[in-house]
Amino acid sequence: MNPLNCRWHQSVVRTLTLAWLESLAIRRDPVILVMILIVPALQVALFGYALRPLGSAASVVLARADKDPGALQLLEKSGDFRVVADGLSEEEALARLRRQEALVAIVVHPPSASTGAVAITVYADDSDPVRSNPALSKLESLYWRQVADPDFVPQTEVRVERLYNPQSRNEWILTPALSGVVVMISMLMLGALSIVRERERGTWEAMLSTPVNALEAIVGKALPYQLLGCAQATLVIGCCRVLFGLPLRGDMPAFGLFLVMFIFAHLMIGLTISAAAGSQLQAVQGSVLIYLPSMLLSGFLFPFVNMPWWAQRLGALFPLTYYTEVARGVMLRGQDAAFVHARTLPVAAIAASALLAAVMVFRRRLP
Amino acid sequence: MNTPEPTDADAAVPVDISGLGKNFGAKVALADFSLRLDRGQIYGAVGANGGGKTTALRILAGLLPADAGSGRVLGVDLRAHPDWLRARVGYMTQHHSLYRDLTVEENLLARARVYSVADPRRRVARLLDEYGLERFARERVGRLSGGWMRRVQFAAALVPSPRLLLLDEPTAGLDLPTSQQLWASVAELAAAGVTVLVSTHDLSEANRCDVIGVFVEGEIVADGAVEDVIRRSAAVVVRVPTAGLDSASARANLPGVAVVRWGARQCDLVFRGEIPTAALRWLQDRNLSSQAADPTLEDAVSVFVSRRPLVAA
Repeated sequence: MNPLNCRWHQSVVRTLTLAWLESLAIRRDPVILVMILIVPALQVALFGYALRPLGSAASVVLARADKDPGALQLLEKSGDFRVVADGLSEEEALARLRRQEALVAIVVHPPSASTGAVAITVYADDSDPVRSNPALSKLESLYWRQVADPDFVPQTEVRVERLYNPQSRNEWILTPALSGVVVMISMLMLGALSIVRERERGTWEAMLSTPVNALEAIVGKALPYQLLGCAQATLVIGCCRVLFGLPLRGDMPAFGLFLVMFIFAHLMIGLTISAAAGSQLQAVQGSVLIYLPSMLLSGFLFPFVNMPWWAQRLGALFPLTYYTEVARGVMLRGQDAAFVHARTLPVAAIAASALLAAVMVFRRRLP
Repeated sequence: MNTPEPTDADAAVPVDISGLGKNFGAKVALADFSLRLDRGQIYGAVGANGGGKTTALRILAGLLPADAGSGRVLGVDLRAHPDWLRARVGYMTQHHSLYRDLTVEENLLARARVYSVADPRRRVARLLDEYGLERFARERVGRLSGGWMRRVQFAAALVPSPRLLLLDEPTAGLDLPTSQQLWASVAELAAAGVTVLVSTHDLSEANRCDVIGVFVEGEIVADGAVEDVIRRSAAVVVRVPTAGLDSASARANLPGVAVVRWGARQCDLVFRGEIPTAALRWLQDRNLSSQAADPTLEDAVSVFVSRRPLVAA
């Protein structure tokens, strides 16, 4: 045989042998197989049904002196709008927008005493343009359909005000929630690899043979990462502020407290995964199981309110959902402490549940 | 909530357990393990891999809960108070268990703090001094040789000043001088009243123990002094020249042989009980001159591990 061919053949055999060894390792780890083959299929089905990028009817509040049923019917008949309140004052309508009880506020001003013309201001919550832009487009097309009506009397002046991101800056759209995504992935990974790495290095058995109990071990492992997470979050948000001029209009101390809980929750979830995982590969796959649905079901990429109720319930299990709301609320809409605290509580509950789970799993796992 | 009963860590009988058992699913890891050790005794757990030695040590260390049996360790109920035990028992794991990125001193200091040692720095300084580790105190553990790493691990097990020391294959992979130094330390500790349980594959080390137990597939098939274990194994050794003998053929065809231990010029045929007549005839047919040899602990353990029944002569 040609020696070149022989060397080539040996090289192929060696390569295939390594591939065979690796495939054996994969085949003999059923958890990895489930995570690689079955979970993605389930996720595609789940996200396919849950995510609605085209959106549903936009919520509208009307501020006007008279309650002319014609305008109401016009909006609701279009199928693109759902009027949640009518006859409000301009201030009440804007407050509802800030609290995210409506996406669009239509304020009909009293007719001009001299000309009789009616001025209308349309306010849209632009802290989430993925939702507000389609709503404004539909409103505009509705207006032009009216203009095309031969009976239409053009005595109306319409003005559109985009609130919270008036210049439609791209950076302001993404970065508030993105800062949470960055911190979430880091904390999940750090937590998920910490125990399993020690188990693989052999230090874990020695630690378990000491008086250290499960709670001490979990909290002790989390503490340095908690500090690291706080530093990371401060750095990321600081960068957003300096580089993109992201406004931080709301209650920052309350947001700081929320961040501490958000970081702790992800560390606890990561540590639970780590305590349960048999290898570092399993731990990484377990983390993906958390952060992929977090990103897709939290409102970070697709509007949360457009998702069906069951997907919203599911999304409510992920801390990132609350982070997305709080970050946009505090950074762009200037939300107060009460708004933030109301979302800190569920994240604290998730963190406490994850801590409990981590302790329980930890107790059952020995090297 | 279980609170530790009043107890004395200096109990006269530090280990007094009976019928301990542990299963992992359908696999019996340890069955009916009973042991009574006085202060200062050294117990050697010997036997093949998977025999249950590590499981036994982990149960005594309070690391694993036993599924069956009862007993007292350091005067306290083993199954009721594992937390109390973990704070008082010294345990050296089979594998390297030190933080490689930390220095020797940092590793020991961390342990001392975890064990709530009164003056951690002083305790660490003393251990560094006693085990000749001072010159490596600020060296990262990952940069030490295997022998020194093992020695640091041994010192780490002694951080809580334990009255009961559990060593899981402490000399595995060590060269002879390091191994001898470690055994000298064990002997010193035993002389000072520390009770020591050592698991080992090296049967020559078993001779350093007061009592040994032979672990085979989770069962303790024999225990006692080394001489007692050899006698109870009923091992009979016949030494024959290797010339004209085929190992596989001997193992397959020699009636009643438990183990064939092959050497360069001669091999030992180990039988349990008396040598069957058929075996003697088999040797004569091949013109193999045979001579009796004294059975060693290795022969005895081989007989227990081989699990051949006693063969009628």
